[in-house]
Amino acid sequence: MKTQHSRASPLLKTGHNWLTSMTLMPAVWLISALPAMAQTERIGAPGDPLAPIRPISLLPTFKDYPVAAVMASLLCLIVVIMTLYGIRHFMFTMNRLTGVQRHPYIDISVAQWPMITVYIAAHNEEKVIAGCIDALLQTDYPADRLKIIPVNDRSSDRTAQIIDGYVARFPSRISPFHRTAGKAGKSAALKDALAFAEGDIAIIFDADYVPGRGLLKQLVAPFFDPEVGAVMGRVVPVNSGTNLLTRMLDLERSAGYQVDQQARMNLNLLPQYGGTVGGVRLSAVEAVGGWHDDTLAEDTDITYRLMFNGWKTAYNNRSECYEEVPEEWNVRIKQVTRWAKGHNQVMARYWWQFASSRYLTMGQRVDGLLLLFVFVIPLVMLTGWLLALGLYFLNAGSLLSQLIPIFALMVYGTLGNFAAFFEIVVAVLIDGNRRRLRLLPFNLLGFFVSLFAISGAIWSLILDSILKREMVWDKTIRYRKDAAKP
Amino acid sequence: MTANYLTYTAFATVCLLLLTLPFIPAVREWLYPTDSVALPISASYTSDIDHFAKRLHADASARLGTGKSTGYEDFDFLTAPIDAIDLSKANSGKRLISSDIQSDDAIRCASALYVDGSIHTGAGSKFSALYATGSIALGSESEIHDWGHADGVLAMNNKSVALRRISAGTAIELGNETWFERVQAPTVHFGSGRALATFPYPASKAEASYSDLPDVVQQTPQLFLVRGSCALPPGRIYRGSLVVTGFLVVGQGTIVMGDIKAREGISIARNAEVHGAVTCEKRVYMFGASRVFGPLVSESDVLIGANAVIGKPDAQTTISARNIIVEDGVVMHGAVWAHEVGMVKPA
Repeated sequence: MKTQHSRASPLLKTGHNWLTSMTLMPAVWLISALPAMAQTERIGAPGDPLAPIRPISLLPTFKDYPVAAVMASLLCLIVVIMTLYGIRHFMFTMNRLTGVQRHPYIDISVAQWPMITVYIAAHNEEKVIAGCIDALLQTDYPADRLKIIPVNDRSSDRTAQIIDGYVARFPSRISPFHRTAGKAGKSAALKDALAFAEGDIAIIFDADYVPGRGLLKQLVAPFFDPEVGAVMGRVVPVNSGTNLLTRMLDLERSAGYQVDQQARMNLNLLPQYGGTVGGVRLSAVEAVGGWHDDTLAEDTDITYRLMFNGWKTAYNNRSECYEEVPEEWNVRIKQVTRWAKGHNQVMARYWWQFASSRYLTMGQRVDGLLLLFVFVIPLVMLTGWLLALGLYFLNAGSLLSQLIPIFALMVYGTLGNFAAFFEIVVAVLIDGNRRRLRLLPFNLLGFFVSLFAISGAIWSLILDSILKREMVWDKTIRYRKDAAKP
Repeated sequence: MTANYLTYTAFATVCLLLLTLPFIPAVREWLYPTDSVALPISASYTSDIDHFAKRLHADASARLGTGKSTGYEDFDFLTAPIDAIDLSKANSGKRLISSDIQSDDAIRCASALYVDGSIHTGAGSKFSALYATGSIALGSESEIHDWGHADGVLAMNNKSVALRRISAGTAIELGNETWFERVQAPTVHFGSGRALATFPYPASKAEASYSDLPDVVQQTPQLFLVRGSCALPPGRIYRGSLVVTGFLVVGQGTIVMGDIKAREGISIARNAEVHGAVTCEKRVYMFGASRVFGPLVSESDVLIGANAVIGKPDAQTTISARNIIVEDGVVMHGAVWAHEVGMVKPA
């Protein structure tokens, strides 16, 4: 008969004062973990203290503990996945600190600029549409090579009147696209409007964006590279100081663009086109199957189709543009839910085509797949936590005790979903800020909200698929206070 | 048993404290924000090379009463003409305005100098920032450390150094063995300015198609992708754009009516022409008398052979690379940006 025996710490058996406990706490923690780390069994007669000791297996065996063994194996797999994500974040951050920074197209300041069409996606945007059109009219892009199309998608407010006011003043520069029927959503509206493009390049802004004077040239310059199918600029929250949520989102955006996207550009991996402050080459879109309107994340959809068909996405960190971020938690949750559903739609559709594409290097393939599965990770994390807890209480296997802290560390390392903590720190410092980093612990809160919102979105997506429900586009609320111009 | 409970309680308390401690500054920053302003983005930001020149011109015009006041800084006036002046000590910290300056001797000026007219100086002159409403002609081994701009022609003789940015309204002439970083003008002449011997090339050119190349994939009606290296034979005309994952050679006298890109390097042979952009992640070689009309971007080095031409007078363009070596007789229309080093090499 085998008797499990824990090799208890002498420190725990002997009496010691409070101060000693406090001082030796790290050691106590380690030692208290020893029972699980070094489970042993005595060979020989039960109760014989002199019987020889030998360690039992590090993991529960499938034969003796089938349930625990399956749980432990799953947890191991999750830890490996989380470690991969952790390494990826670390690599990106170190690349931004020490690597060669690629901005190959930013210097193209003089050229024969091609004809482009700029789209402004607008649905009930009376608060912000005028600011966007004004800014576009003042860019330094040659006016005779620029066509502006505000895409008014079934607005019920004054958006249409405001657009028409501009058209009356600048008839040769602005061609409105008023959409009164058809499928709802930004991707469907843009799909219809793209038919009216002039030139091979479409630059897309959401209506709350205010492009700077030189932004269009910066976004168009990468298209001189015939391999570039899409271009992405940097999005900067304009209402970052409004409340805790906006400040946290500011940190997250900073990491996502300043470190994540730029590192992927530096490492020749796969920067992502984000659907606004960016553009696409229309011939490339056509070549990979056209613009899809049956997705909630048309940007991710087109990014991946371009990638696995041999096109590149260029990220330009210096092409900055302000946007509004959600100021209320319910709006934020809706936004994250929409992103999660859209992204996972893309994942389900294209992961195999991406994984087996002949155009990608190994690094691009791995990075792209990690990015593709990023909105599944919260559910994986939750599963990992449940497994860890379950196994802990089952006291199954000693290696588990090492896995739990490693797993916790990795979860911590990838906190913020996309923007790991150290990415945020480095990004904020590169941006020249410092004291806002004090808010970093609060990202734990944002992380938990995203975790459960994304997990919920995954279930919802599964139900949508089973019940054949149509996915609904939830528009993000605008907060700008200043009145709209005619 | 009691000791164990005490230990666990202490452990839990310390854990809780460790978790709570970072929230103290976090809560303070939340309640009393000290750093919450949005990242500044200048709405008027552009990458214009003559940004500083324009600003000095506006300031100086205001000071001379010919423009609106900018309220930026005060100016000292320098009596003209001068022959040889060491301005670095007498006028430190002040910007200067002068009329025409003609001198055979070296002039050294540590302050920004605005010349309402032209400036011609001798060898060994040094300026931090220099603007002339007329032309600028600096003798050999002269230096501009910050920026220089002439509304007319800006000329720097042999072995000069133009750090950072120089621009001109009409033309820039950089002598042999001149070092530069960022240069922009409708026409930029590198080297001695005289045309060197040209090379004969096939007069007749045959139409060719990328689809005949090995390992080629047609991406769009106008774009082809070659996996591996590729050589376009001499004396052909290709229409459309080409992406090559290896090294690309454009044969002698061949004309490409589109953009080209190669990841491992590009060699454009003598008398070849690329009517679109040239993009490369590594080195680009433009041999003698070759021509590129679109932007030329390399993430490594660009070597441009004698008598090559980049851009057109009525269709200016950009060259951007880490290092740019330009041989005598090269003509460029537009902007040249060498991130580390640019040099004019005698042929």
